[in-house]
Amino acid sequence: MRQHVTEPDLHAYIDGELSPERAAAVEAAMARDPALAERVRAFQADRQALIDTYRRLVHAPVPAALLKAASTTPPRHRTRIIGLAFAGAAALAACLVLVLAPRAPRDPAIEQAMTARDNARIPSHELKGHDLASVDAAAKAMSDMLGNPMQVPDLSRAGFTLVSTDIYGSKAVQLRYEDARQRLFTVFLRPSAGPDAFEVTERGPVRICVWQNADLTAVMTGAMSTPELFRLASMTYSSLGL
Amino acid sequence: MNRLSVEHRQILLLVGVEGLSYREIALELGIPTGTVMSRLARARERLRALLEEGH
Repeated sequence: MRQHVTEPDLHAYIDGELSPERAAAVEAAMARDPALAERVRAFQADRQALIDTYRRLVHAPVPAALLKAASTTPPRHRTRIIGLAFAGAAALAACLVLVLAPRAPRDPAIEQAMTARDNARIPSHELKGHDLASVDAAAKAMSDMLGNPMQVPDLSRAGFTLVSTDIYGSKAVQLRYEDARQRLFTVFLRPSAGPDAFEVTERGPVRICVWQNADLTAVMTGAMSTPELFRLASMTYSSLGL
Repeated sequence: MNRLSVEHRQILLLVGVEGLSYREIALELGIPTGTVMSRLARARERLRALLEEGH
């Protein structure tokens, strides 16, 4: 007896998510219907193109000239450093637009977040230790930056505790969390760098999730699996009080 | 990709690039597996339509 094949069945077949019986039903339907088989092949090609494009871009190196410029920035002039960081990120973005067009719009925010994560960007103010007894100060800094009330996410359900808040003038805030194994999870927040977006990418062992709306760009990072990062990112984004 | 909605881009990246299973995505997003499947189907349809428009 012929089994009805739905659109979601076709995609589950492409992703290897069907039981052998349902997969056989899809293959039988494709054998009967050349147009259906062609549609499946087109979807498979789109899927593979997406994988090829994003994996290539994730692993593409940052241009050497920009790396050199970043590493030779004088460390004494904090305000200038921040200015250069933004200028460098903009230059990097310009290069990436040419070379890595699909990823370019969020790259400046990612560069800023990764620089902050590595402590290469010195905050204008840092709250840690007893300062964090009241998270109100951190929330106020975040709210002032965006001009909207925001809350510091409580990630204790996931085993992560806020250990410091880095404030970069009125331009950005970084929240640093750690778990019992001292694994670092950072949340870098800045005014929106563009239209609504969601991306997951990686830099070496660090996974990066960019979540952006009209008001805010949130770049969340952690040396952890994608499902774990995504769980923390979802918890963070839904707890910001946006 | 920038012309897709965030919801569609999210599901395409999680399935295609990150290689998460439908079940893992359902758990993470807090939605039924059936919704993952239907959302993915719509996202791929939309992507296909955009690619055809571009040709």
